[in-house]
Amino acid sequence: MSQVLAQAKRFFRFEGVPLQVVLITALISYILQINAIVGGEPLYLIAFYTLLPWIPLAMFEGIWKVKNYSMIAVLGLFTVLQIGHFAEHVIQVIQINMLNGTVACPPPIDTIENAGRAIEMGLRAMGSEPSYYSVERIAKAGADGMPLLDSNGEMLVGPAACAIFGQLDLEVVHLVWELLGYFGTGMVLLFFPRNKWLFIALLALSWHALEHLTITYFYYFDQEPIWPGFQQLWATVPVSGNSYMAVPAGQVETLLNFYQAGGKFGLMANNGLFEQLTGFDGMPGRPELHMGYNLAITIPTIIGFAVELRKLRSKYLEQSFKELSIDEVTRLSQKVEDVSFNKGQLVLKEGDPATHCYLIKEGKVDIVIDHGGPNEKKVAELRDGALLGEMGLLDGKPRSATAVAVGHVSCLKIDAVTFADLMDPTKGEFRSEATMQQVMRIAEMRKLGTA
Amino acid sequence: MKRLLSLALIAVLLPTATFAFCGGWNTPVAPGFDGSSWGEKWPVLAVILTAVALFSTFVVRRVALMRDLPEEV
Repeated sequence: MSQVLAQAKRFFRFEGVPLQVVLITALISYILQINAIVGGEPLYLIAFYTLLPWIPLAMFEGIWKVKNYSMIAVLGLFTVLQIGHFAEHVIQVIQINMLNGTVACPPPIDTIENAGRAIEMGLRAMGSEPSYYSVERIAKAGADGMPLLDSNGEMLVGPAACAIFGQLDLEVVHLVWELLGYFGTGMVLLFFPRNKWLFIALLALSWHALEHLTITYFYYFDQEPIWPGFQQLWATVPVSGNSYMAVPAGQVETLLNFYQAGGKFGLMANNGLFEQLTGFDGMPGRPELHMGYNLAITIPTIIGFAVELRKLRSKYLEQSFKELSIDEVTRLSQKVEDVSFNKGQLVLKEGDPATHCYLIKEGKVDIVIDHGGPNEKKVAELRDGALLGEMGLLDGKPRSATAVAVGHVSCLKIDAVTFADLMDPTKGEFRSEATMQQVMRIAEMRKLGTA
Repeated sequence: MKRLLSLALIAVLLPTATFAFCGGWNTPVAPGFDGSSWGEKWPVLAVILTAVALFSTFVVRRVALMRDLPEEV
């Protein structure tokens, strides 16, 4: 368990983005958040402004992790996205069942029509301009489409039960998210075929895909109006700052298509296909059912990811030290440090004591004798995957040449103790005769000036 | 490790599952919308079911084949 936690700590910290950039982003995010709160913005905009500066950073870090950790990072990204999705479903169910929320998703918007109805009902000042903000709160509607009142004659008001980002509560968003998870998990499973938890997640995703493909098909492709029904009308009223509330303003008779008439409940939810065919009346509502689906997907995905997280290892070390087992590369990954150099920067300096070596991940390094002196001479050029500075560790002498970065260079720094362990096939953590011989071969070739 | 994960799974699943089945979004269907309304849509449902079944089967078969390969060290 502690191993998984240690690896999770490693995976979820910023590795590809410098600390200064993270701190500046946090500061910008904080300023935007405070500005939104002081400006009286609704919750969804506060959340949006808070998250906005983190999006490019998260994308950059995500790409870095995929490049360094390969498919485990892809699985990690799916897991994070799935947790976020599940959290939205949980928030919606809490809004409905604990906070007296109303499901009208996406929430009504403060448009000219909705503002006009509020003025007609005497709930809003004449000449008040529509803001085009989504409402945060909704008064419950009765069967006649007018507000439901409690015993004190007050309207029953609760949140618009569409979670935080209710504007995204659209059928197409649900479908795209679901299919990303479905095809993504299918693809990831091919790389982790022995992970039973991901297999369980795929089965849950398969069933969930059936639901969303069905619902979305009817939403977009079955438009024939057949069933007589009603459309709920709303009046929008400012509450405070830029927060708005929707008040039921009656209903209009209209013809409903398949989705509106009952198709939106899908296969297994209350009023859905299963209940309609069997006459059974006891299935959960669509929000609760889909939270359940997402629970059945999220939990095995998290566990499946945790299982693979134990083997989180650098792709670069795995490629360079092919003779080591996965377990050994995983442990070696925990001992190396990511470092990078800009163009012209000295990676190693001639005459310095040899305390570490580097594995070049990306970039080009020139090996130069008498750097900056009268007899300066380039003796070699090293590229991706090459070891650098290992000769000093092998012979115990100071650096025999200077290494200069040609453009941006990223490396993995291996300290002397870890390197000595790699070189000793008889004791220590990494006992590989083949690794030792491979490194010795590289060093010999470099001595001959052919590397 | 596995025991802890299983306990965590049960601890999260039980209350959430109970909670999930206690609520309800009881919006009624339109008058006349019943089992036969769904029944008329069987070709669409069949195509969707087939597509999902095919993809899942493809993945499961590939994964089963790869499981037979020698385990990585």
